[in-house]
Amino acid sequence: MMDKKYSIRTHVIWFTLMPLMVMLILLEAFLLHDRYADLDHALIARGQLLARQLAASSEYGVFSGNRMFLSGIAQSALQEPDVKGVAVMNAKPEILVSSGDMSDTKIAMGLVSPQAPVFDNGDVLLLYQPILATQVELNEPEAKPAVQQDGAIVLEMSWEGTQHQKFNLLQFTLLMTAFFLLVTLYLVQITSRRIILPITKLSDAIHAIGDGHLDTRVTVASDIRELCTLSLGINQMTADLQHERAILQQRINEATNQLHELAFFDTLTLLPNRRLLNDRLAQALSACSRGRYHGALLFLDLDNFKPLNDQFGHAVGDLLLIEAARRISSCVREEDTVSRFGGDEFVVMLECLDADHDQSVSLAYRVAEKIRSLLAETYYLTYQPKGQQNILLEHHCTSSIGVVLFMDHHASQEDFLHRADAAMYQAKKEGRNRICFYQQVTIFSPSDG
Amino acid sequence: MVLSDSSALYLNFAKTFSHNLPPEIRVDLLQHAEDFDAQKTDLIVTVGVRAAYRVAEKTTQPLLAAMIPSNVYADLQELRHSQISAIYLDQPWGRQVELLRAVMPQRKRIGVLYSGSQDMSVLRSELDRYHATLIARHLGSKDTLSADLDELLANSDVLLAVPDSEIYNANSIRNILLSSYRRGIPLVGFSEAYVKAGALCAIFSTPEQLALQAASAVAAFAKSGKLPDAQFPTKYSIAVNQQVARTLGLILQSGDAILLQVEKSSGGSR
Repeated sequence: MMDKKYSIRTHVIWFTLMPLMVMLILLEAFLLHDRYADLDHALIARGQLLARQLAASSEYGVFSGNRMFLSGIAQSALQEPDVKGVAVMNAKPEILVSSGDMSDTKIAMGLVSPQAPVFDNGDVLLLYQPILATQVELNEPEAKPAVQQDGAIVLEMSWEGTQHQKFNLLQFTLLMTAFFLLVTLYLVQITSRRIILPITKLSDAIHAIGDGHLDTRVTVASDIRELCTLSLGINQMTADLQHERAILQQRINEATNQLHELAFFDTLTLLPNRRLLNDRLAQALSACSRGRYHGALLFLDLDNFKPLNDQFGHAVGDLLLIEAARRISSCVREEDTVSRFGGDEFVVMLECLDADHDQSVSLAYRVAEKIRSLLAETYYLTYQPKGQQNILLEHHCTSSIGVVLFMDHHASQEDFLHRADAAMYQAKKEGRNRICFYQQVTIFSPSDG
Repeated sequence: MVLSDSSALYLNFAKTFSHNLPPEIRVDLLQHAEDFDAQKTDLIVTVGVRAAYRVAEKTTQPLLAAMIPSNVYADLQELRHSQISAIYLDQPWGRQVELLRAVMPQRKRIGVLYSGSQDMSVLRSELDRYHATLIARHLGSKDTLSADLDELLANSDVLLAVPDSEIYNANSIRNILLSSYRRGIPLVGFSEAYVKAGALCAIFSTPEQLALQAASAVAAFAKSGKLPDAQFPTKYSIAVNQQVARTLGLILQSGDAILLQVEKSSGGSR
């Protein structure tokens, strides 16, 4: 079963505010109860005090049966708050005075007695106070008489004032509680927002980082220390990740480049290799067909290369190849491709020569001738045999060049290479150090150029 | 000597009595009348009413009853016909009348409220001598105290209290004083305590004065073997409550000055 998830605010409210609320309510209930009891007690105590005062001041009135006097006392007692009625009885007991809004006095008399001086049914509070004769010390020689009861006061108090006070108290308490609760909720709201907003920002940032946006940085404007620490940590972590990833990427790029070099270039001459040539040839074929320009493939082979290799070793052969590659490259435009096809074979691809076939042949021939003559110049190769001093070697070398023009798609690039190759063999067959065009049997000797 | 109880009043009496006896007379003191049982003595002096009754009932020995009201003595005589004498607590009527005359000569209607069967004739004749009138009223019942008092006060100038615990007691004295002073009528009491409680004045004998009188009676008995007749106090004091006098608008001399005047006209001595 999946547990239900709650927000920070809900957590705070349930786990912090609720116990507080319960405590608050219990405390208030206790205080109210206590205060209510105090109020009840205060009314009774006040009534009893008043009744005692009335009893004391009524003594003479009861003794003399002076109803006027007693009713004056009773009237003044009625001025006291919460006093509803006063009845004065003599010793018999007869009711001498009953004033105020006294409930049925005769019934009231029955409800209280010296044995049960307080009667309270929630509506009415009746208090009974005996009127006792004040004893005056007379130094009587024989035993003093017992205190004599001359009558009684029955005081009726109203609960109305007390109830009103209780109601006010309750109202005040409830209002205060509600106010406190609202303030607290508001504070919780503010506080949780101050926590939740940064956390949401942090969580968004982490999502973004997880999605690979390592340049994500999070700024948390919060005075909560933990959140600031967290955001600093996330930023630091992201920066580290980004740095390491950059390093890794650089390494990958380097390795990729290296692989690319290895795959498409000849390591010795640094010229494009056969694979790259195939690539470019395919592109050139399509470009020429769109632009209706002729292109040309020049297939070169160094004459008498093998004997040099055999005599001085591969290192010297390599030196020659490097020099030959440099010379060939210097004879062509930027956009043309010079590639090492294998061994001592080079293929030069000339792109976009001319729309006219003859013009193109002429252009291709001029380039081929330039290459042929440059390659035929004397080579000065410096090499260092093992444990010996540098030796300068003078070498003469020529080349045989087969040329083919391309334009239509009927033939594949393989076909064009074969044709160039075939033209080169034709040149070799015709005595080397010459240029031979495919399909055309015309042999141009160096002397004709 | 047998005391009714060990109240300060009686103890004072006993102390003064012992100090003023001739040295050859030995006194055994019994502080509580209830503890008394017949024993061999020459004379028993009782102090207070309860002691007097107790001893009179238990023995036939010679008995001097001190500090009893004069009306109690008649009762005692019915129990014991011989070998009995008394020193009264109350003052003779004549002396009371002298006091009234000395203090308030203008107030001629003297009100007395009484219960039981007190004899008012002596008082009436004493008052007659000074052309004063006795307004006597018999208490109907306990409940009619206020009404009877009211009626009496309506016709009197002075209220003369008499020793009658039915009417004058610790519970009632406050209301009686209030009732009389509401009508502007002074109350004349019969003890110092009444003056302290609010009576205008009183003529009375202190326990010391009575003890001295008893001591001389005992000394006489020792000599003659005969008890003197029952007698009123020979020595007495007068107390005045000047505060009450001021309240009632009366101008009174000091207690001592009044005493001199009373002594002069009655021929008594302190």
